[in-house]
Amino acid sequence: MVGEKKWVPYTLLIPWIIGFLLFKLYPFINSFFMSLYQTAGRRSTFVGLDNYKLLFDASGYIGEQFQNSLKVTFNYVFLTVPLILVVSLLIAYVLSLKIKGVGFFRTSFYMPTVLGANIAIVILWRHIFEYNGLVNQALGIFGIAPISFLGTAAGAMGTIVLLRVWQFGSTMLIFLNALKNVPESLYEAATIDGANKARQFFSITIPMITPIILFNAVMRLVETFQVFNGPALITNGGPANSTRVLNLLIYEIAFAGGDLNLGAAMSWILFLIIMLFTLLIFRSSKYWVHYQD
Amino acid sequence: MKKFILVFILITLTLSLMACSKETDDATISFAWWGTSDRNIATYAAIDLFEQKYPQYKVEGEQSPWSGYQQTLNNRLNRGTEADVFQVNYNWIYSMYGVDYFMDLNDLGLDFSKYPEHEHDPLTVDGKVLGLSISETGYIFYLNKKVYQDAGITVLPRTWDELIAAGETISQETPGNYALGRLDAQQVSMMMWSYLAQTTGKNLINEDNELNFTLDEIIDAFNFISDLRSSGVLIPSNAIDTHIDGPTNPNWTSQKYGGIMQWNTAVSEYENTLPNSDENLVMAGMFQQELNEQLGMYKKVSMAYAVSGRVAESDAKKEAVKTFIEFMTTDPEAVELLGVDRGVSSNTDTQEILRLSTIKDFENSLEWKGHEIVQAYYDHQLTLNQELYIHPYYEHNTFRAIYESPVESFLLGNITARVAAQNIVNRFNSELSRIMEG
Repeated sequence: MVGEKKWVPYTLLIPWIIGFLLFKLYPFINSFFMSLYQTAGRRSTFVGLDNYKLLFDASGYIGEQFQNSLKVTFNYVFLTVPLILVVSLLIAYVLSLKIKGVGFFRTSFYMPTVLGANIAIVILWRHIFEYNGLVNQALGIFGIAPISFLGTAAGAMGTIVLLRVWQFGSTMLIFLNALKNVPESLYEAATIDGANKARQFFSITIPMITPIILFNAVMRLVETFQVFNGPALITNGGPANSTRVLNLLIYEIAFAGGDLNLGAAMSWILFLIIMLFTLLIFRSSKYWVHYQD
Repeated sequence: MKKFILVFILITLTLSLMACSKETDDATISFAWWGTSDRNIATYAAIDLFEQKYPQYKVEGEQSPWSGYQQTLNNRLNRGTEADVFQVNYNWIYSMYGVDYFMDLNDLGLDFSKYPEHEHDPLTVDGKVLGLSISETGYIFYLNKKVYQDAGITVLPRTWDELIAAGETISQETPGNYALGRLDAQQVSMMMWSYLAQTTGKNLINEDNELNFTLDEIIDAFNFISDLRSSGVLIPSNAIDTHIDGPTNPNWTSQKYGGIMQWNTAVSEYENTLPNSDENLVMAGMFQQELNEQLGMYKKVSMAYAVSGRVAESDAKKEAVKTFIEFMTTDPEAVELLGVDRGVSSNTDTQEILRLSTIKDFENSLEWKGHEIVQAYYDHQLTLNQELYIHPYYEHNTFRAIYESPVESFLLGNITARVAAQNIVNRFNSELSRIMEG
């Protein structure tokens, strides 16, 4: 009887499979072929790797823009990912200690993640960090001159990085769970051996949770390479292109500029970069990740 | 396993049939446009009226905000799912032009005789009229009288020198206020080209589709912007006001900024957010080098109605679309309902209807006043052989960064006038050529 109902789970999977095939796999494959064509109206011409060559031709304007966006994206990712990991791990560590009202703090720290980087939050963020915004008004109370957060390259980058780091809740929860799984006996042994809290943290806690650090690092890396909302709605890529991340440039060229082929080529390069860094992290993991078994 | 395959096939078939079930209905016209609430309300009212007068037709209105409209249209054109009639910016005709995207309006049988002859030229590609001009527009100044009066200025400036003098007075008498205030890179770019057109008599782009100004001339324009910043006309650096949306800028709404430079068809956005705008906001045209000159006025088709290439496949659909477009552009009641929300129509009959309207004094609107000065200055320039028509690729989304990025960097104080000018000169011709080759 049980064997006769084997088709049920497959049937239930059909909507997902159709969605995956239509909205993930097909666009994914199709975008590669698109990147090999140039389209005028509804007529497409095969141009081979010309779109890719254009992107790497630094003497051309598109190449210059693309390379600037690559640089901006790397800056964003390499600032954001380590910051998220460090902040979420530290907060998780504090919340793993037996302190009063820990439930309240856990909820509070997770709240920004629930709110997410949706449009309303991003626009609110913009108003907070504008020259006449909430932060500068608060600074003004203490007699501090206003800071142009969104009018300088460093300030604008800092603002969009902060928005992402602010949503450290899910990373924190994963760390929190990992910290609870570190055997108490290890800490007891270390205490008997005279290791202080800092030594215990770096010599026991960190090595024991390296698989979770690896997981969080990969997830956040993949996610931050694809950032869009913050740079699009807080800074619109400015000032002076300093926050024009790759995804924003892809959107502008493909949808606002109407060049879907060039946009597809850029998307594929972004995909390859993410793949490369993910592989690098996995490759390096054998030197620093410790599995208990 | 057989049941699984059966269910899979059934679901796939159902989905496929659903996808194919879209009927082609010649009596239903889809119409897409972008606009703010005023325009949307007026357009839906006109659509209701059309359906009353022509009960054999039904119109599906598809309103959108400006943001994202072009991206959606691009996608729909690529998939062949665009509306039958859709509003376009004039430059899109070129950047989106394909052999079968747009219907040639010559084949629709519309009466073009009421439109000035030159108005079809910018919308004609390869001999095909791909859009019906709704209105023309020019970049001009509007001033908030109150900011000037608060500083004791009773006569509003008409020349650049008078504007600079006003800026100095305003910054002395009412510190924190500016004769204009914050202009963004797009606005400052246009101001520079207008200034250079006045001083050199040249258009930005020549007939060979190349930059018409020299490096030294562009440096001069940047230095002119510096003068405006140091004299209290513009804010000293755009880094001290990062609110990028002009109409909602708190310094505009709290009347610290004394003016804007904007397309005359878009002034209502600023008008709606300014307190007592009926009293305070006045049209100032284009500042001149010398009093009574009428130079430096760029204009373009503000927006146009385009028709999907699919419409040409059915005579009944063509008739429906023709009836609808004629109604929207010439029916007296519809014209009064739509007013000047899409600018002042160049159709002579339409203008007459608005002029004689008893519903509203359209002639005294800021849009109308702007329209008149744009046309007057532009026509005057033609007598001097200066045709300052906006190049169809000037506002192309990737090309505009060629001049707007250096201007933005300059406004933020990141680069000097020479570097900014050099950046424009270095890339202008090659990128324009690349974009035009498509």
